[in-house]
Amino acid sequence: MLKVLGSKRLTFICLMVAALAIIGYAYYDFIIPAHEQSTQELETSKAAVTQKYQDVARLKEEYVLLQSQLRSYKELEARGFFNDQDRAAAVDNLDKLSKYAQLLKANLKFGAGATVKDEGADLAGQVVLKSPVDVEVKSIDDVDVYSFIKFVEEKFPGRIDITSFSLNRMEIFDTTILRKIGSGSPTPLVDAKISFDWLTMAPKNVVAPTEGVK
Amino acid sequence: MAISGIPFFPPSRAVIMMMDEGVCVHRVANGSSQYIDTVSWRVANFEIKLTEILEAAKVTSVLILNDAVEQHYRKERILIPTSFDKANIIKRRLNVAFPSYPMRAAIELKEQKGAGAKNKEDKDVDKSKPYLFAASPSTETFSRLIRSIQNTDYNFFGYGLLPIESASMLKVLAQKLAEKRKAPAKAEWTILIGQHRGGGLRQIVVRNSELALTRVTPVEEPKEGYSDIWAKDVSRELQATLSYLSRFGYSPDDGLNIIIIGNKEFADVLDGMISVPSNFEALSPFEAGQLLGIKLSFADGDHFTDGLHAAWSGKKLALDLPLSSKEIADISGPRKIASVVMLLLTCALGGVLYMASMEAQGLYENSRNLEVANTQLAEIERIYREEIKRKSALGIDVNAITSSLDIDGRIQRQHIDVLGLLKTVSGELNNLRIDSFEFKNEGDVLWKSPSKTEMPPTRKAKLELSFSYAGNTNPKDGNKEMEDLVDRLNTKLKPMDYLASVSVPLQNLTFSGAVDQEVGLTANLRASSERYTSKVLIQKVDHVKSPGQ
Repeated sequence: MLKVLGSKRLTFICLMVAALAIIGYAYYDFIIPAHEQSTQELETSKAAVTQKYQDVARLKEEYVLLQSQLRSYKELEARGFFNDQDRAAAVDNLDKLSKYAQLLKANLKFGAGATVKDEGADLAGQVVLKSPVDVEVKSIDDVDVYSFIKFVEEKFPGRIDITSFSLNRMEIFDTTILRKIGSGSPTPLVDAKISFDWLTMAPKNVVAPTEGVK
Repeated sequence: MAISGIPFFPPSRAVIMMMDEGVCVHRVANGSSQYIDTVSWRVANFEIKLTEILEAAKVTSVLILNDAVEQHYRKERILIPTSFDKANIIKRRLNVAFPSYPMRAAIELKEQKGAGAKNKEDKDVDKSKPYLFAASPSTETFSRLIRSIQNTDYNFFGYGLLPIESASMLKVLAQKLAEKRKAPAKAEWTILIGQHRGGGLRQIVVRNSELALTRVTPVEEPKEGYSDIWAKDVSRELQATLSYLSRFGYSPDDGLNIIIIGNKEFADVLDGMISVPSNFEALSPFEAGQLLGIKLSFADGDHFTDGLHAAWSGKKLALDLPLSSKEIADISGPRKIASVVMLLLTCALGGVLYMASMEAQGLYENSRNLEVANTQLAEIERIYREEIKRKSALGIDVNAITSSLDIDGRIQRQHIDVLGLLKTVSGELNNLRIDSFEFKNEGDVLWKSPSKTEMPPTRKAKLELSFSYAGNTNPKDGNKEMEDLVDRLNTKLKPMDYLASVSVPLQNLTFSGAVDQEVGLTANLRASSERYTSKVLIQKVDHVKSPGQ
């Protein structure tokens, strides 16, 4: 049979089979994977370009936006929003504000502060600090209490969120009180209890990471 | 590797004219025929020599054309009932006709108009068709020929009988000559006479393009200056052929073409020797080849006709009547299968190469696109860095600004303005006086949803106002005063999403209330120091619907 087919024919068939096998092997084991890999790389690269374009567009938008945000940020900064809630300074501040408000007495209680988990703050390398504050106030007039709250809201560094506020007018027809008033000593006629959360932002590196996280 | 082994390469064919004295090899390619060599049967190492000649010819296939004397023909009419039985019937009839000749075949002929002169009724009854049966003996010389071919790598194209394969050539030649004479080709009969290299004078007679008669007679080859001797021999043989023709139904009215192919010097002498009315033409092989569109190339003179026959059959895509035998099948079968395999392999290789080239092209395009994308990426990164630098130049931390403003915004949004609420309440008190109040505010001031579209929940804020009334006040009047206050408050507070209600009246005067009071002439009246207390509750709500909504 081999003689009938002839050496050239057989050689040709063998060469063709070999060529087919080599090219087939190269096709399936090298070219296709290489093509797939290059397609993947291309897609990744295109996605990276698109992402970067979006980033640049976002940056440009932010740049324009920042021009307007910058003023608000400066205002926020000026009112002490970026504050590590130093208790001594806070007591000083509230003392000054109570005096401005003509309060007879204000009893201050600062609870233990905590950090509030917030992604936006994390991104900026900041943490949100939250401290509960209780103030027991005694004054002659309820207007003084309202003034005190107004001053705290406007002048106290950071933001405050009033969680409770109660006010009680004392009975003026009490003989003891009337006697005190008559003697000219400052007699409280209103007592109030104010509780608020004090909220500020502070750099992460300033606040110890072991503090409680809400 | 020689291209001869590739079956689908532009065909070139070696035509082996098998004669009584030996074989004559022609190479036919691209419409031209070239005489290569003649090998006598008697020569020593015949097979080796023929193999060498074939190898040197560099062709793709080999055709054997039988030009020997021993060829057997028979015309028979066969009735074929259905086309399914055709092959079996013909095979059986061939067995009966030529039982001792293994190489045989049959070809269907056209019904001759004059032959038989059957009337219409006979035609209707006799539905048989005329067939030409042909056979050739399987000789030792043929086996030697097959062995020679087997020693080469060429494909075996086929084995045919020269007169049958050349019958179509006669028709074409007669038509061309008629066109040349500018006369209509009306003659039914055509005789082609030519001297072949084996020393035989081959006469082929066709009637309407179908073989009617063929003869090979030994005629001495012409010599220079003795043209009349050859012409006389040819004339004698022609006369003998014409006498045979009358038995085949030839009539002078049918018309006769006589074509002599050979050296013009010898052929022209014949013209005066032929007395039968006919269209006589004497042509050289080159002239005949020119008419047939074949280019001939001889090295041994311009007298022999076998090259013309070889060229005509050699350029065919398929033989008119291929003969088959076991010897032929043994060599052509495997080689045909191998050719198919080679063709399939080549197609497969082409397909794989095509797919590979497409993938490679895709790979190349990807690499080009990747370069472009990387360039774009580098450029956009440069722009990005510039933007960052520009922001950095402002001396601000973008994230610090955006996040702190966002947090502050969220605090402001969830902020409950208790002073604003108290101010609104105080505006509606008229002559009433609040003894005390209690404000409670619950909920997360820093609430943040993962979805930017979700609204924050309403904080649970409530303010309870306490009012004190003298004990001698009519509770009904006091309740009315409280209800009026609530109405006034709601008018102002509803737009602010607050709702006021009397939580504790001075005295519950409905069925659910418990009342303890003395009445009568001696009853003790309540003192003004015994005070009534009433409370109004103001609550933050989601959204207060007005009556019209």
